[in-house]
Amino acid sequence: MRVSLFVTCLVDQIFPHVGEATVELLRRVGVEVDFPEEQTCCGQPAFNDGFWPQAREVARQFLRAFSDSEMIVSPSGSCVTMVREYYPLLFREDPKLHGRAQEIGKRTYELSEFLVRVLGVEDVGASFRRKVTYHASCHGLRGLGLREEPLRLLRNVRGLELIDLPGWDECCGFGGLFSVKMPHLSSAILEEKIRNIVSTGAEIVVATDISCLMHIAGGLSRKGIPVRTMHLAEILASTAG
Amino acid sequence: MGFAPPTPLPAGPAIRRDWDIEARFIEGFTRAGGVIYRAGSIEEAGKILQEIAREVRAARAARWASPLLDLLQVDAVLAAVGVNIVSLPADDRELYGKELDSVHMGITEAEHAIAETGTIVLLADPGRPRAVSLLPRVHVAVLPREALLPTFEDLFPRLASRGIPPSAVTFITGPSRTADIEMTPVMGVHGPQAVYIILLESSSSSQAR
Amino acid sequence: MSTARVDFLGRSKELLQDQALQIALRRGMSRFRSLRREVVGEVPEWEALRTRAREIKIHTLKHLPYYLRLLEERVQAAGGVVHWAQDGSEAREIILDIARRGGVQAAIKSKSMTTEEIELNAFLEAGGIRVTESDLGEFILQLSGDHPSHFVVPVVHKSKEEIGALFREELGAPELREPEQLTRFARQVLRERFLAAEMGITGANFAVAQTGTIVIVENEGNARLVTTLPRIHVAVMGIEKVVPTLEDLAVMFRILPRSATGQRITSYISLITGPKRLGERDGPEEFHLVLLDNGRTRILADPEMWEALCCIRCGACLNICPVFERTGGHAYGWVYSGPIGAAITPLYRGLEAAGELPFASSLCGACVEVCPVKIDLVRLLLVMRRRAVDAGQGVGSLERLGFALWGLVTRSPLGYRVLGRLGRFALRSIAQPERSPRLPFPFSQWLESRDLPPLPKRAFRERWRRLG
Repeated sequence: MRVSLFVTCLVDQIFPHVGEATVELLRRVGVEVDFPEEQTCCGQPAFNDGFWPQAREVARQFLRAFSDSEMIVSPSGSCVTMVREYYPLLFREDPKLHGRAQEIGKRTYELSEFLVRVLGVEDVGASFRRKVTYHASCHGLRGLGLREEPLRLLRNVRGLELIDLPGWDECCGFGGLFSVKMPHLSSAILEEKIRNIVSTGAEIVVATDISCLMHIAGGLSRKGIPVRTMHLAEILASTAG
Repeated sequence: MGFAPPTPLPAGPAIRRDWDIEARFIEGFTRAGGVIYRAGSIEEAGKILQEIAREVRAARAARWASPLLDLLQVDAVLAAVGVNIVSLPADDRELYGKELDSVHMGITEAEHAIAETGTIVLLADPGRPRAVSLLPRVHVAVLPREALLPTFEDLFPRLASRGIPPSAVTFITGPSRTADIEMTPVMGVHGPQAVYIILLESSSSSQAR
Repeated sequence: MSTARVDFLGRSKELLQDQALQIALRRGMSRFRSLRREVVGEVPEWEALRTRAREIKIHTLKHLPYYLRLLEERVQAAGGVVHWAQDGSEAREIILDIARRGGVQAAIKSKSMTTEEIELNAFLEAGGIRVTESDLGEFILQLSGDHPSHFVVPVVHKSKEEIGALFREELGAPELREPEQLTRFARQVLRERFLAAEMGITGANFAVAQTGTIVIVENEGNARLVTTLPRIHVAVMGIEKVVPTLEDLAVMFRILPRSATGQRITSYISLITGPKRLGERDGPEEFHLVLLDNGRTRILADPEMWEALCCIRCGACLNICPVFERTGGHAYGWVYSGPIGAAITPLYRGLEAAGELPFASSLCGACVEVCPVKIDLVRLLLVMRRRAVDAGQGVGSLERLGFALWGLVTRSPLGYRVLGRLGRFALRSIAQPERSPRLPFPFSQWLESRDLPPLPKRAFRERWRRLG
């Protein structure tokens, strides 16, 4: 099986090791990975902020870059939600592209969704001996319905102690530009998320979206709290003891 | 443009109905803060009514005109424990309100009840004024067992088939309540503080008529 | 309130600092959430009910003129009078006229957001009618000259001490501190008003077209009194509240109380059809139903936003919203707050007044999950954001410029790569540990409470070649 990696602009530019872990993981479960180099961004930042024409420009490039891909896999619930749930809306007035926008969503998957629902794999042969707590990113949870999949994958990681996070399904407060347009609210919501994380005694907080993790890590770092953030792909790719 | 009668919606989803109707009704009504007493006979119902009157220290009561309450001999039963049944003014709205406001206990029947939520249903008519179950601080409703229905869907066709419905159909589940102040529940805001149901298992009398 | 521009950013900043409010909101909203979870959990067919409720609403909206006509006919057949109010101003005049013709000096109201929407009280008072709010929370607000901060618990933002002080000052009450005592006192005061009022004014949660019946869902019993004691009853209702048949109420009764207060059912639900009948001792002699448009038919014709009219005003979206929990209703500047308020306020009051509101959300989607009629609130907010941007509202000139450039650059793989490298280089220079990092506005706002992530030298795509 072969998939095209939709790495996402945030992972590509700021968290490349998550992209690397994703590739390593996919290869380990027997999936060939290619990387369409013409990809840029899914357009979500502009779309969420009301700048739909600009989002469309960028989304067109996405459609071009992945036009030959049979299956697209991405380490980001929010970007996949953008493609699957919102591309049809974004292109609703474009008779040519609307069809392509609807169709591409059917072959675009978030990583844990791909592993569990498409490959039927819940044990990726990972080992990671740490206390970990899981935060459910909003888009993955509500946009894609990923309630169980990341948890199932985590439970099969050898040596991993999974601790329930109070308010695991509550927003971290990032919300894209919301984090800088309404920073007081974004920070207040983040405060509670961090309190909950600290209360678990976990060493690591994991999620399917690097945007949440970037937000949470920013707050943890500012407060000098030694909890680390890791993307699901990094943990699943780990075979270290 | 939208004036022709549309094709009505097909029926909605079924609601599970494997309840013991009486148990479900009692659970719902008491969970909402109401009190239920079971009466096996007319006489027992009368005794319960006396008990309630004593418990709430009622001196004055008002009641609906209803064959069931007549059967219970409410006036006599209450007079025996020193409770005066007040007759309500018919043509003076203000006087009616003031009179009923000074009454401690209002006694009605419940024509229907819904097990699903523990709710009794009162229908207004000339002998069955709305405020009897509303102004006094205690409301007592006599509910015949046969009046219990499983769900709302069992009630509404009966109401719809009457043509023009009564001026008021009131669903009552427990006493009046609020949580407006600091989310603290308080009973008896504007409506009754306490509501009792006498569930009449049988409307037979142990005495020959 | 109606002409002022909403300042969500400013107001929310103030309200976030109000510790007493934060505690009250936290207590209230978390209580509602846990109660709701419990009662919804006991209904195995909950999802089917939501779908059905939505079906009923959509069907009704698609045939709204028919159902409204039928409603009018049936209300009239029962002896009631139906008035059609194009907007708030007309509605107010209609109600004042009813009061005048009825020789009304005092009116008593039960809670109705629609009457707040049209700012009825002040208008009636100016017309010489004394108006008393009888819902405990609304009564308290009336005494303090304040506005509701929540659909269901309008005075959640006040402490019992504040309320005690208010009763002392405005009503000459003795020293009372506990909710029970305060409630008893209010009951006494309001009893007098119920008995004296010539006119009762209510809203309506639903109206059944088939039978000409309005439906009022409540716990306190004040709406029952308002519709039973005074000679005249005026019910004010948005036209979108009609449902086709009595059977449809069965679904609504299952979803509304659970979603609004976490109850299986409220203490009282009143089905009122016309005035009292001949021989009845109580109930109104005159029943008036004022059907309010005030922009609703315009929204109905809006292909992207008409779904907002499915709203049954339960408040569940308020209770689950992380933003609302930290601000309360006052930040939204109008009678409708929370996620639904953020979506519809700009529709009713215009983007110039309220264009900021759709951005008052992290788009987490929790509201969509709890909405009993499955309104896609996130999509509504996204659409309203687009409209705000197109109207020059809710976004600053830096944002416009920023996205214009971003769009140009990011659609081209080369532009994107160059921007990426430049951006990382700039951020790396800023984020050196020795220097205190500073970013241009609005990104400076990030740094107020968060650090920047460590920045890699090379992007993933540059490393891809090594991965082969």
